Amino acid sequence: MKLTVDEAFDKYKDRVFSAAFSVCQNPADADDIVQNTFLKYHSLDLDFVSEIHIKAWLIRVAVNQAKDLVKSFWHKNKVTWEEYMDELPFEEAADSRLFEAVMRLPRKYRIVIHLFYYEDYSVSEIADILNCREGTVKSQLNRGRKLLKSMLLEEWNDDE
Amino acid sequence: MTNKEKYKKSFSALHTSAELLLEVRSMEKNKKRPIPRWAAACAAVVMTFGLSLGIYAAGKMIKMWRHGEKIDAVMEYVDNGIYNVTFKDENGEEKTHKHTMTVKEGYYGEERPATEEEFIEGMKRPRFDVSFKDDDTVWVYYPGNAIEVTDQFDENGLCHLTINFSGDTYYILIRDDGFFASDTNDYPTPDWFN
Repeated sequence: MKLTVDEAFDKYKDRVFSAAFSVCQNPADADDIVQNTFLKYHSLDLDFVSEIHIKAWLIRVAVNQAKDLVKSFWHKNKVTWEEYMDELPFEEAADSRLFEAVMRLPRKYRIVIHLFYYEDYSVSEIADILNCREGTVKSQLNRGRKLLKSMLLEEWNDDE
Repeated sequence: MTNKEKYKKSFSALHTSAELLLEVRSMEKNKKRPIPRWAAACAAVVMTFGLSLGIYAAGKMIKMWRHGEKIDAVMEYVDNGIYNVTFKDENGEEKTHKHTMTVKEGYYGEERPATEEEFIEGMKRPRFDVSFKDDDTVWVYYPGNAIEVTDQFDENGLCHLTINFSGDTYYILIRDDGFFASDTNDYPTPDWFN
């Protein structure tokens, strides 16, 4: 099956943006990655088994593009994530504290944390998206959780 | 609330731009591909760094470590074992640094200038760099780490630092006018900078 670009964009644009942002930490770069990801979706004539596969494909492409971008010669910090954070409509102070704590994580932990907690992917699905071993994902998740706990204290539950 | 619920609530504040929405919708309607923002920025960068184009055309693209991260750069041969390396700093400004690299070989460890291939390989290896910031602090960077050494200079303006990294011990000598050197056997001597 395949959704039109319009349909896929309406459904997944913000998920793709969040995944890209969790890597590159820059809203303008994340927007470019969203655009490039849906351009690719539009231009490739792929057939997917289900919408779950479409979403996984979009996020994989976006994360890989973001990882390449942050390593590239042309990556610049146009607006820092701290400046961007000031514009975000968080409902409560705890939401912004959690966001800030995640942004302060090392990138490799931040990606797996985001894919686990926001996208509900399992360890094996995350390993598939990031093309790495499940053991690596587990260890990065554990370390990311410990760091979040140390930053957020009671605001981050244990063993989740 | 579970951690997942808290996380989703926090990150639900992120949204892609409305402008992008219109551009993507036009793809289906008009069958045209919008130009990504970075392509327009490239034209401006080309004009701004017009002089640098000559360097980029003549130089060689390499990878190097800077402030604990691997970045792209362009190297240009200057003299035996001496190369100019041009890169973009954290503010996107183009910087050129002169690097000198030597290789020890032979029974007595005689030093000779690195060849171009040795230089490229050497720059790819995890290394240290030192930053003298505008706020008068001095920092040493190596992959994933940053150490402040502002208060570690002696009366001769030298800072000696030992770092254990990736199974090796590195001896770093920093001079307060910006020069620094590292070795895995012992501290470089101050006359290394002459």
